[in-house]
Amino acid sequence: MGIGAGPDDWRIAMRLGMAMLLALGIFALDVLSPLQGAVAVLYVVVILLVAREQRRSLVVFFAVLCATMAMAGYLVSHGLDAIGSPTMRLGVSLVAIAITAALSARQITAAEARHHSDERYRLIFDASGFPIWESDWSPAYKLLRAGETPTLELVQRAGSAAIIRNANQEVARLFGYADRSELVGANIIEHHTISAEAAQARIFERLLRGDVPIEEEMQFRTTSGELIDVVLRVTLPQDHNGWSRVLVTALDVTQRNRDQARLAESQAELTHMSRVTTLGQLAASIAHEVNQPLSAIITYAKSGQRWLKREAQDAPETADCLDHIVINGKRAADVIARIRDLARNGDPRREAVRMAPLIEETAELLQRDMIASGVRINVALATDMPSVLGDHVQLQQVLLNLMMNAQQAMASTPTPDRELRIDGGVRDGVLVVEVSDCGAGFGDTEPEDFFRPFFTTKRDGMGMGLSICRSIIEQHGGKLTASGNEKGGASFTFRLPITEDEGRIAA
Amino acid sequence: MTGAAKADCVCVIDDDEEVRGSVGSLLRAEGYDVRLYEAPSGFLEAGACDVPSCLVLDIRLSGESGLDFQEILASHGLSTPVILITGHGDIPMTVRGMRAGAIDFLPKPFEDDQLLAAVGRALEVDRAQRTAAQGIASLRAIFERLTPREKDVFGLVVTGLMNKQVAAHLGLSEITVKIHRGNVMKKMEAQSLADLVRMAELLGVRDVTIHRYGT
Repeated sequence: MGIGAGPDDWRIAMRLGMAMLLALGIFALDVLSPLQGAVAVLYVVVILLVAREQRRSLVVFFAVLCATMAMAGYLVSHGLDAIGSPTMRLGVSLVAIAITAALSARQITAAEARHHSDERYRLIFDASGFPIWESDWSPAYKLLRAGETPTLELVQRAGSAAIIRNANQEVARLFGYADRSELVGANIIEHHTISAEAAQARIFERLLRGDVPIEEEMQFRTTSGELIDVVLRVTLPQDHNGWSRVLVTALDVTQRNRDQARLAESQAELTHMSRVTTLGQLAASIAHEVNQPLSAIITYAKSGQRWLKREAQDAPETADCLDHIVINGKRAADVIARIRDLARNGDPRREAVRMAPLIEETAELLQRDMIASGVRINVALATDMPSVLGDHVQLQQVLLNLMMNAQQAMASTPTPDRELRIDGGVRDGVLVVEVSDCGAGFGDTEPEDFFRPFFTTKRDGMGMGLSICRSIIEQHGGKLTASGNEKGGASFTFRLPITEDEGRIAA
Repeated sequence: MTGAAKADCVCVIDDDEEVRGSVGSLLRAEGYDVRLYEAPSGFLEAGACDVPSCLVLDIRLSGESGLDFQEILASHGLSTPVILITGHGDIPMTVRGMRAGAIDFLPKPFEDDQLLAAVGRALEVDRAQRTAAQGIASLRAIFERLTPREKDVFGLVVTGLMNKQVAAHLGLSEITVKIHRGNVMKKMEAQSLADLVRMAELLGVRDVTIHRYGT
């Protein structure tokens, strides 16, 4: 129908000419023949012929032409005589012409509307900017329909039987083809990775259940061998006729996944750095923690030697010395294991963490430092402190940070009032731990500001501690908030979901 | 050193049970009578030993600094020599500890010989202190046996006044003063006036209101 389509135009012109000739023929028959019938009704054929061109204007034009010719024929044959049966026949012919023209015009309008909608669909399909393809999965349907749970082998066979009917250029770009035509008639099974096979099985399973639309993230291999992460959305149109038309859209999430991984990586790195910094601040305490058992070991060893060198050797005393050497060796090793855990730079673990021992162990680690700065630690934990799911090193990092902040907040508080409280328990089905100090509180600053990165009130602070604490707690599905307390100090509260298999862990 | 016959007492105050125990074991192996305390309060409650003794003290005790405690000891008039041990040795602390009269300052972990040598020295100091204290005590006992008048003469003679001046001061004759002075020398077993002056210093009986060249 394009303007430049010469042969088409010719064909149309020929057909219109034929219609015109037919109309003239009918006219001649009407005027010249002695037939006493409604010959003019035959104009209907002309209109039907023209209607095939699917142009409303042509139909209207020929309808008017035919009506005029019918009337002209009547005038020529019968003149303006009295109204009789010929007039009736003319009326019938005109009505037939009008009805045919009207019906044809309506049909053309409907066809135009359908055509427009097809055009729109194609436009969306081609220009949407993300990959869409339409596949025929009917062979897969026939294979799977009978079976119960599709086996992997069956899924593979079903997958390779699917045929792409149509695909837009984005699909070609996604899989690394030069043009979309290369995809039509093919299938994408050769781009599948192992994870994609499993996803494919899930898609089939859900399609069989009629559970559409389906979204599955899967990994493909492009023609250049690169791995891409794609979220596939599979839809069945209403008239899919046994999966013969399956519409698949794809969202390339490779970059998003990469960014996320990189973000997680740098977050973990930052968390680790902050932990190491905290360890640095605790260096004196840690050195002491290790030095004490080492000192005891050396002294017990020397003492044991002396007990043996005495004139009356004392075996029980020597044995006692050896026992204590073992005890202190283990003690030193325990301290080092704890520190090494804190310094560990690994992926966060997800395991059941028992909070009560963790809080107590952390308080113990800080005990020396707290005493040196005149702070009393008061730990009040509910007897039924639950476990949470997460990384115990990261959770300990949060506790360390909050407790050290509390300690520093009380630097200018009169010594007898320096009390650090840790309350723990279950409220509304979640674990709640509150670390409170008796310092100067938040002053004019909004408590929320303290969680902003690089916000600090300390002279040598980096301002990352609380921000990292909050992200750790959030990664554990919890919340960390700050508020003033009745003693004028600050309270930091974190809430964490309790592990489901709590009963088993407690037992 | 067999040390089996020694009955000298060493008190150890350290809040770390294992460190305390190890020092205790070492000192017991050397035959000392060892008493272990977790906190200074325990030591103060137990009271001082009646034999030569010394104190091994951790400088960073939980609740209070060992250095503070050393000052408390001094202010209580307790003269037990102190050896400081610490896991947190640093120069300011050492200086403060030594100024407060510590015998030695040992960072943990320390050599057993170092500790034992320090303990030995501390006990010698205490022994000397005890001997000196005993000397003063017996001197005071003799002094208390002097008559009131002899005590007056004693206090004035050691200021350097001549008999005549002493006599004038007390309203006595010079002869009487001479007799009292002779009795004092004899009773106090002083070999010379200088000897008597030394005793007066130990006893603190010199009459400080008198100035030889004053009015």
